[in-house]
Amino acid sequence: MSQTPTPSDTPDDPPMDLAAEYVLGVLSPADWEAAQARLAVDPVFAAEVAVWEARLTPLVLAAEAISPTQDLWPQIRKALPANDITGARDGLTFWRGLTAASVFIAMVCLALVVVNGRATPPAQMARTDVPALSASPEPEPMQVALLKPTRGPTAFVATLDRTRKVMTVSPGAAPAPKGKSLVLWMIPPGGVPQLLGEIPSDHSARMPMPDAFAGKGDTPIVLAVSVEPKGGSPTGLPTGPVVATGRFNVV
Amino acid sequence: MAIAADLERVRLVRALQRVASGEAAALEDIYRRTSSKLFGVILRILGDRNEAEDVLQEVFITVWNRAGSYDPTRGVSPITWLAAVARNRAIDRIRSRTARPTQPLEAAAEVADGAAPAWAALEADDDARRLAACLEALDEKQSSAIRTAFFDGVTYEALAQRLGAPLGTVKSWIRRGLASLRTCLDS
Repeated sequence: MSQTPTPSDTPDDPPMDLAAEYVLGVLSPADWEAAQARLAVDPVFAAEVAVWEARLTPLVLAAEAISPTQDLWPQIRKALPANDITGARDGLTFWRGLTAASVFIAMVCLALVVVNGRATPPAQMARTDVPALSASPEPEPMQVALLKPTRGPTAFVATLDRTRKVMTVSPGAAPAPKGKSLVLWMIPPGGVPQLLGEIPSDHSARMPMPDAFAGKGDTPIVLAVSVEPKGGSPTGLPTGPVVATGRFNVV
Repeated sequence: MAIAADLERVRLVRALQRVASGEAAALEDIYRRTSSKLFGVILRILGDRNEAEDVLQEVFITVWNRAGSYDPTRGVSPITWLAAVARNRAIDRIRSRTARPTQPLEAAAEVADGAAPAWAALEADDDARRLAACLEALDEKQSSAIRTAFFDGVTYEALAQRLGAPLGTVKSWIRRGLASLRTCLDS
């Protein structure tokens, strides 16, 4: 690489560093979305992005501290979606007890999805064409799916934020079996499982919301987690045992 | 000062771990310690107080949901992690609004007020100091393009327009700057 100062366009610039440019935020909307989608499926890229975030973020810490309005914390406290998730987790323990008595009943109940209908008051503000809170339509509810084990103690929690078009999946209580990966699929009614991505063992996976979930209200699409060889299914379809299934719907 | 910063860091790490296990009181503790700094970051990016408060709310809901993904052993300080969450949310917000002119610098300056006391310690963060030194070492145009892009969430094209320079030149500044920054920070 030449160290000569560059008056204008130069032929010998360093090559594009996609992770750095993604973190910096300079990519075009299309490139940025493509990079964001890649994060969910490419752990090497995701790691590079994490390193660049760590490198560059201290820059914004130079911003002056400014107090937000005083009543913001009570609003946040009320809006915490995990309040409901916590309730759902308690429910899970209860249903696990039931499983011993009746696997069938437990399956039906655990396929139930818990919804937090008021979780996202800020999300509706993302639409700049909505004039005021009071005049705006109901926000898209943030939905939560409990992915219930068909065997063993693993359970996953998936949240769907339709407004932001983001799906998040939290890792289960039990890690993937040694040398294996846990892979998330969505299965449309009567359809073929479609790969969504690998669930990291130590942190939540955030991925763009699959288009299939774009409709309002209940969805018949089932989420399933299968155990696959390290690095994913060799066939593009689930090959290992399905360890959990669940569904988003509105209660 | 260094001891105060270390203490603050340890406290935040612990609070994040408690949040990960579902303790709302720990989230409130984090809020108390960091909300004014994070709000300053978001407001600096968005330039609109109401919008910035919405985003701050989203940030703390995100922290509540994802505190478990913060790993202190990876060498990222908790405040850097929190600031990354805040910036990402703010940039997402910018990306979701269309062609809206912003004046983040002026707007933020207008509403600036005092910092929370804990920040005196956190601002001495080593990460921030190293980054500042490495940016200083860059060519002025490179560092200024990087700063503007990072704070304002602007694409290459918008940045070229703003700086009144050809697109290729701006890309060149940024890519050279990033490459040098990487070398400097990793050395």
